[in-house]
Amino acid sequence: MPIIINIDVMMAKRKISLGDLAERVEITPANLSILKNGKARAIRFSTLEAICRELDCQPGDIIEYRPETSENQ
Amino acid sequence: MQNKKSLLKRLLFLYIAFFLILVTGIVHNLLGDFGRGAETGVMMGEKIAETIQQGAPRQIYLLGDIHVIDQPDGLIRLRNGDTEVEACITRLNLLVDKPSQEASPVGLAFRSVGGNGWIYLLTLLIPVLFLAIIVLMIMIIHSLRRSIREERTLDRRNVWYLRTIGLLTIVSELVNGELVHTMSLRAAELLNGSGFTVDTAFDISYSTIIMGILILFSAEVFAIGQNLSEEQKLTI
Repeated sequence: MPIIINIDVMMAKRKISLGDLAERVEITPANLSILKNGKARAIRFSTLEAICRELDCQPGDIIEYRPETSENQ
Repeated sequence: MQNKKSLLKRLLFLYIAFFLILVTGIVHNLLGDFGRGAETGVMMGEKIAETIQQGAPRQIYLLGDIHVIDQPDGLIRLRNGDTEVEACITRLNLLVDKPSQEASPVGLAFRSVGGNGWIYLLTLLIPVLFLAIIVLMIMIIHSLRRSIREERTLDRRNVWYLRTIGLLTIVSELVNGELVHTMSLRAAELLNGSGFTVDTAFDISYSTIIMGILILFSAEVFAIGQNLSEEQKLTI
């Protein structure tokens, strides 16, 4: 999928662990891990809002569109 | 799941109804048919063995449940006082007895239904297909009860079971239709000139085929539900 989740980069920048962020965003660590690993099919606006609030960033900082090249395919 | 208890109760009711119908069906139809079939089979086996022992092997085979659309005039007419009864034959069971080149008892036994080994195998295939459908139905009801208890009704296994039941229902009806058709063609040859007219049309039960398609349709509905449930589960 050409949508890349860079939540781990932001978490490293803000020095916050997965468990801590999950607790602050009020989702389970398992679900946050699904999101972090790019396994999620969709993200709710409410979740995105909470993540941006806790990481003090913009949605574009954690979600990136990278077009698929023939090599990647 | 809010109405888990009522769902489980309904499934339990279906479970009990399914087993009651299964047992009643087996006792009422299958056992009687099996008893008659076994009796005919033993009689035919003894006859075949007798002809082999005599050194003049004969092929004895059965053409069962042949649909007849016309019969010789005045075949069965009864008079009881001033009441007249005319019997109309619609189905025939034919027992064919003809000289055979083959002296092997196994070969002759394999041709004891329809006069052909393939027809014999098709005859065996139909009960196997029905048995598979019954087993799958038991498995699907059991799986549904378990998945409701575990709160994941739209299980991939249930979709697979439903698809297989639908396919097997259609296949078993087609196999049965082909079996009856082949036997009817053979019977038509044998009864040529006898006054009996055999229905040689490829006849299948359309209601069974529709039922199979409906089962396949419900499997697809389940599959769509299962995909939606997965999407929902992966929406963070």
